Amino acid sequence: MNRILNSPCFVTMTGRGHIGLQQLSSLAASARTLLGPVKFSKFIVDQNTHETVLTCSAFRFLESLNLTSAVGQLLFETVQMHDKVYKTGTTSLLFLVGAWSNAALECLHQDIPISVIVSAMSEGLNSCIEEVRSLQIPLPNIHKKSVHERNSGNRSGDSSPPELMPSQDNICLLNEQLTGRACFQQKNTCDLGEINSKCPTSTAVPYEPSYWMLGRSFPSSRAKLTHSRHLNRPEENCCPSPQEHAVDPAGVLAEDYHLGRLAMSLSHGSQHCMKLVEAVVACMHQNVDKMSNVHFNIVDIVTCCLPGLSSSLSCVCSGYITSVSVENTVVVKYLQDRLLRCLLFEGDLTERYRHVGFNRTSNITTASDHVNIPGSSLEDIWVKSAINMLSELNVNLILVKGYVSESLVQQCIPKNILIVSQVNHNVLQAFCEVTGAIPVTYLTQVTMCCVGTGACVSIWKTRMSSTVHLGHGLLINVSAPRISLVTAVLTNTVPAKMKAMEDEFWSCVYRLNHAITDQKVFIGGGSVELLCLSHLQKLEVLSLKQNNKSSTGQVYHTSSWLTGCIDHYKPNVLRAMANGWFKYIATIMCNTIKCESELEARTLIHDHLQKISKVNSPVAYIRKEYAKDIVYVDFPNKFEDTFEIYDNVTPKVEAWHQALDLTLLVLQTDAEILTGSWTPRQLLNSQRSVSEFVLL
Amino acid sequence: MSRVEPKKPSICTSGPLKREVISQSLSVLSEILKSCYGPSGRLKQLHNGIGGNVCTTSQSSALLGGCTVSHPVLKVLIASVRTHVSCFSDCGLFAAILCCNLIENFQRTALTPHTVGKISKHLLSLCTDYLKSEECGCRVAVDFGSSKALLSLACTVLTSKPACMLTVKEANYISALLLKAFLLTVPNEMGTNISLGKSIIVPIEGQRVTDSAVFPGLLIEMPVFELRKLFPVKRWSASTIQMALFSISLSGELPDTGKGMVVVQSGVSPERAVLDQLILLGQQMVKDQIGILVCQKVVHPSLKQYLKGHCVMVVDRVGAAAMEPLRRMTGAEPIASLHPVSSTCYGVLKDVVCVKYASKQFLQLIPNNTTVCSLVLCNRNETTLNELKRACQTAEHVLQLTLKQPLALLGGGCTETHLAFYIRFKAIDVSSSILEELSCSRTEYQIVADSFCRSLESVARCLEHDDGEILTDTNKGHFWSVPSVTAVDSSLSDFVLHCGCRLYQKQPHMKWTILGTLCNPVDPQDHCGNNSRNLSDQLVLDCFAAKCSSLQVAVETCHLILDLSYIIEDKN
Repeated sequence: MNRILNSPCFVTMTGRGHIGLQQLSSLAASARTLLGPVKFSKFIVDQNTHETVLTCSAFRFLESLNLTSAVGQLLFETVQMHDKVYKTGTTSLLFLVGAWSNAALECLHQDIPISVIVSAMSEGLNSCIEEVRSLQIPLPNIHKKSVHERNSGNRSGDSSPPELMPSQDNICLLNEQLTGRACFQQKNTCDLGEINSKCPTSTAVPYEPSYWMLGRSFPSSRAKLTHSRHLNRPEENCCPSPQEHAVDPAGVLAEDYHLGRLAMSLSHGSQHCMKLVEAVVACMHQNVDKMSNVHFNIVDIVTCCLPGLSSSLSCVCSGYITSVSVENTVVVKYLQDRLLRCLLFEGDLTERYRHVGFNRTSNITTASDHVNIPGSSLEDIWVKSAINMLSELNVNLILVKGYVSESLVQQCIPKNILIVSQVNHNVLQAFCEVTGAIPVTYLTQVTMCCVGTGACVSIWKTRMSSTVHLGHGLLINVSAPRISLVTAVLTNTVPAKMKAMEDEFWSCVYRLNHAITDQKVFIGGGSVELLCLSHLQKLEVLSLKQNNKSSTGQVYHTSSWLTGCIDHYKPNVLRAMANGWFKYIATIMCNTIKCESELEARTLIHDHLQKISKVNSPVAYIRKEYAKDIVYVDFPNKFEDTFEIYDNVTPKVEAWHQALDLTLLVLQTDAEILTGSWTPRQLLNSQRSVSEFVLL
Repeated sequence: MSRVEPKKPSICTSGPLKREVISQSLSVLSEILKSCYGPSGRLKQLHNGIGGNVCTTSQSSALLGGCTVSHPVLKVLIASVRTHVSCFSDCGLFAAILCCNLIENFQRTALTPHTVGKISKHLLSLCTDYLKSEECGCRVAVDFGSSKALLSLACTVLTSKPACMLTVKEANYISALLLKAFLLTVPNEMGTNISLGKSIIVPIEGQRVTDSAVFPGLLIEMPVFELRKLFPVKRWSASTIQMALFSISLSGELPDTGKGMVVVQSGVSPERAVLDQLILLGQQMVKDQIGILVCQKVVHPSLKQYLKGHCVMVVDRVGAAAMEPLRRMTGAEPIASLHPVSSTCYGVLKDVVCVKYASKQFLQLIPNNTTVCSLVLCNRNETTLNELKRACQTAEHVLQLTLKQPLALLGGGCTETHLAFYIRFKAIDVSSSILEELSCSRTEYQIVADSFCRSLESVARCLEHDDGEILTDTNKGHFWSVPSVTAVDSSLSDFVLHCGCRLYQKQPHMKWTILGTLCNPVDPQDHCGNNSRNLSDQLVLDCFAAKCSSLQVAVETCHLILDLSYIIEDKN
């Protein structure tokens, strides 16, 4: 029987055990261990296909769950949106959704009217957000502080574990791109030999160059060491011009220094990725005009993932690193050290390709008065004319956004023309700016003025000076002088972790970017949440005292009795909400192994709360006392530099808002209506009982 | 081989409303709608259950638009409410709930549908006459000299949609924006053939509500790399840029040949031929000193390149929705053929600039007059943004209707209770001439009038979703809400603060009774003393035209449904 119910089905979901809130709470509970700087990855196994996904962020977690329930979908949409805009804070968002769903459920159990819960909770959150403003630090302050610390000789960052630092070879690679954009500039190689002879591959000053590269503390007295970055490059056949050497690294570093410091403070447990981000900053700094203030432009960052290589090989290079098929090796070798003329294509480079919006008419046939001879198909003619045009314009390098016709690629190899396909927009844009090439859609559009000049290409090598194959094809670096583009090469021996690592890298990039755009950060490590918790407790006591005093609710009530009695229920709602923060801090403490059990964490938090309630200024207490205790949970290794831990302001506050909005939205929902045609079988498959539904 | 199936006979159902299936469905629908009503209404999740978009809403337009019901009675009801919503945007739930209440209450009276129809039609005319009269106690004149009433109107619409998730501050902010956008669309010049402009909503998700803004002219979203490519633009003079507006595709595709087949000699490229035509068009644009070419559909990259080479900005794929506003604001006529292009079709723009706003980049086309504006709406997630978008469209429509008829009705349940109050008063001493005209007895008249008032009052009751009690005062018939009787031990009137529309505040001389239990009605017009009026607070106001229409729609649809005696369904 397959009766079609061509009517919406109607399910109620209210009551004390609000189904929607319960769903939210259980979904969030399963992501508990993802919270905080120390994450426990999760395996998600598809029972049908046995596909396994390794995930350690809330967004990827929900993505792979493939939720079809209405509430699940809303949750995923919210988290996805947050990830799209901020790339960080999704786990906090998910956790708080769960915590506050529980709070709302608790309030429902106490028979508090829904409208009052909505009103009191949103008022509570807004009040918290006002309160935590006092924990914001404007960025210039951080700068001053850092500079001050540096001047007082408080540079303890030197002892960073070596494995976290890109090695010298890497630096060479990096710097070749940094200052050595003049690969093509003819420079007498004796210069280099001289330096080489002066400083043989020394281990005496192993990490100084890293500072330069990582943009951390670097006193100007060490400026001379910048030369050492060319130490290991005997095969280097070109060298930066003297003018470029003249760039005062100390000057760069004075500014980079606090960015570096800020970056470490925002690393939240992914120091490895954050170091790469620092390298990106340093790299960009070299490229950008000193006059302009933009040091950090997200669109100029691309990633290149190489699973299978040791993660210590991760590094950052100026230019665009990508893989091409191995057949191109000869072409790349031929093109190396030359100034290339390049073309940029915005679509596919095939004969059949037409721009978006072009509808092909199907009913056209070609009548021909002579026999089709091989080699005269449309494709062949197109390739022939393409090759002619390319050689006429003397083009050596083509970057294409989409696919490239295979036969064109084959015919370009003997002509020493390199074609790189699947290049994203930002990369095309960067090359457009720096080489003067104008992106076109069709070969027929190409004229002399579309051709850019000054690009260069080289085979990319790891720090072991080995070319990478590994089934990636041939890795090359396409670059141009003064190009703003920076590629982060991410490597990981475990391919399953690759995606997670890429996410981690991007979230580090975005965290730094948010801090720069906000121009302020929060004191992190749970301080903000602790202040919220203590503030809510204060509010709770306060509203108990001045009961029956009408307040202006955050949400409109036409039915005015709710406005009158909101104070009656407020303490209970605030208490439930505060429990959410409590659980949040406790969970972070447990996850970071700061506390071994939840009980221990709770005792610790209670301890702090009591102390806070006794002092006049909770903010001062948190800044001084709490910071000592908890802020460093981020760094299991206490011997390392004692960074403050910072949190982003806008992403955090928005995550709270999003979490509460979703919770309250679901709280106020009392029914779901299934639209479209449903059969009883489908209803059964949707894991609900048919009796739940009312048919209209 | 075709198979012939015998036709199934049609099914005829008599007395549809007496069938349990139908009355049950009707009551479920009315429960759904009632639970959505008002600022503290409960929300519904509409979705297809297989991963489609989830719409969280309490608005009639989305609820009824998403529902496909099977019973003809429900179809009639939904169709008439949807028609009302498409004309007035607002008060859809009011119409639907009132209609359900009327059907339910009239069915209980056991009078013939004919009698009920006649009497209730008379009662409806009493209501509408009263609403239109100067003495009407639940009506306020909207003064366009101040923004107060207009802001109230917009704010009432926004706050009655809880799925927008707006706080008080945000609701006020959006109301102010809406009003600003609305005022921009009112043309400055006087004349006979004047029409309102248009505000176009540009939704952005993932941003704070208070990031919303109004921009004069049209915003076209564009990735930043495309924006950079557009400039420079050729100007006619310092403040005029000539614009050509194309509604046909300039993508260079061949026209559809239908079923016919085109045979082309090898070596001839039809695409090339079309492109040549496009380039000719481009040459004309350059010759005519066009600064910006806007196309609804796609422009061929080669034509773009050609025009860019001559400093003509090309903006393509603006979509059909942007065409009418573009035509209005620039005076350009959409060009629907490649040639000949008459120079009278061109319009003018004042300026073209790049706007970076809330994580997105836009090209802003600024016209000389400002009758077209763009309202950038932000909200935190997709479902709340969609709800906010619908609410803003409704609010904008309400403002437009108010401009036509500068009146507003008191909201928050006060109009309903006051109307019921008025009808009860009128029904007591109905003149015998009217009874004669309606050919009914006085008792019949009073039974129907009582059901009518009950229905109105229970619409007002639907505003309460948290088990509160509704009171009404004994001289104005306004709506006052208090906690439920069981929850309090003292007198209910101790909890009274202000009435639903916020026009009156608690006064010592006022008396209240539970709504629907009023014993001896009085003339509401007797007590027109304004001493207890509260004019400082923001009132809750409803759109006059929309409410009047929905009252009418509800009563008439109810008649139609009660009159149904047979349903004949074609089962083939």
